[in-house]
Amino acid sequence: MGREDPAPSETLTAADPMHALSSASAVEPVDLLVERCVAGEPSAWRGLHRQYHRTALSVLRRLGVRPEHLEDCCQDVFLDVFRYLPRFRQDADFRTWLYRVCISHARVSRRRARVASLIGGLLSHSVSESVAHPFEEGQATRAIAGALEKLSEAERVVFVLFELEGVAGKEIAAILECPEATVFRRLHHARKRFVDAVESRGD
Amino acid sequence: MTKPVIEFPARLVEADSSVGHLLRQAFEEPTSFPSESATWHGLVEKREQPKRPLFRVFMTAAAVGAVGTFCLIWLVRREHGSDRVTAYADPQMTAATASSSSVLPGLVGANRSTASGVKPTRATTTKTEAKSPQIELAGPASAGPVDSESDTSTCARLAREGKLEQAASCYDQIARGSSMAAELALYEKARLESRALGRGAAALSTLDEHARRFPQGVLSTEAGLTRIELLARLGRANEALDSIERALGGAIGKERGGDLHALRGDILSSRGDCRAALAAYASARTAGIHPSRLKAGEQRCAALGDTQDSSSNPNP
Repeated sequence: MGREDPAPSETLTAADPMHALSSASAVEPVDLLVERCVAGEPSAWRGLHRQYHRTALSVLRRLGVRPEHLEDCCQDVFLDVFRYLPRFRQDADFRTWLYRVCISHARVSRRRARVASLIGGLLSHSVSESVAHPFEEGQATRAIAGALEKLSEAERVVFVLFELEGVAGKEIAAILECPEATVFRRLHHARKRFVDAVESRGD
Repeated sequence: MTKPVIEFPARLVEADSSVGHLLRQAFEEPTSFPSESATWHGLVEKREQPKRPLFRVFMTAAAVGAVGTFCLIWLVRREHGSDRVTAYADPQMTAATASSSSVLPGLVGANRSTASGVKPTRATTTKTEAKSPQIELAGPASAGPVDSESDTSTCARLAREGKLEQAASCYDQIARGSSMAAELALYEKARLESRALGRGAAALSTLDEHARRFPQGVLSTEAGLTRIELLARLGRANEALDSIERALGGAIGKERGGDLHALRGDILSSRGDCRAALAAYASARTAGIHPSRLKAGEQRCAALGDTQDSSSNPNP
């Protein structure tokens, strides 16, 4: 049930500065890409998107963005990235910064989804069930997604970054702008809940 | 003291448990996310779209609605200009009064504890419009039609520049209306006449006019108190004391009782009736008047007391 490409990139207007024709998709150092983006090279935008869109999608999904909103949310993330990239400090890690943008957008998306489901509940029809799953997920992935739903928002962010994305505790503290001890405490609670949720799913 | 290094645990994916197994399995599972080109295509389209058209429509509608409501209120208020409404605790009014007091420091009552803090009357008052009728100012002060707050500020500026007659004329022009600005102008005119122009009788007449035209205006308390002060300064002490007695039983007494007591103390002490004066000062102090305001009168009484003592007992 994979999603088809609605339109290939070649159909875009060539006049668009964001229309990149960089078919040479060799992985380029991110620092260089960022520099080129800030300098206003259109092909660099596409390069950055190509390198990081899957990371963004993965993090957003794990942070609880619904499958039907995933693509939209990812686009919003990159729009913000492109908009605020000139403010990005070159000495910082781009990936860390991207995580931060993703966390912010995931929060907004989850809130919107909650409101939508509330309204849907009032109108006596389920919004979440009315939309088909736009992409496939394996059984284990779905199980993990289910267990993640048991965590609070703060715990979920820490758990996803540490356990699923492999971000170091110190870096998470920098992303969330909180002490490492807070990250450790949240992770501790999150792991307990996650393990409980995974072990109790067969019950 | 060094901060303890926090050692984070090994990731669950490395654990040899059911959870670790599940995580490893999930990492190996293929997930068909939306393709990069599809996301990019949408991104480009999104960027080309005008930002939040619905939001813009909503904001435009809200702005139009707000302007319409404002016009409606303005029209209704204009039509029913003479209606009575509840007291206005209008910050503009307070600001206007405060500013006019501050720009005319010489005109502020010398023995007021809160010269610039005009307290709006709580009772129902005569309706005064936010905007006064457009009045053409005569003489050099007239810089075109002026209204409301700007009226009195123009007059205050004239007074500040030393053009006292023009300022009085300016206040007089505005005071012909029936708005809040008119009330303010009338009061300021009285103060100008009383203090700067030295026309006590004219000031008294203006204050009487104020009491007649705006019996429940926001400045009625201030005007009443100013009138009593003026009577005292004009040497009409008996009238002033009678007025104080009356005022203490009324609305002025509730709001400015302390000032009235202090004023009575001043009149009595200047008459030499120090016992009554000191009692009045004590009442004023109880009512919250700052001791520095009462100091001069009390010292005068103390000096009188020494003189009386020495005259009654020359050889102690």
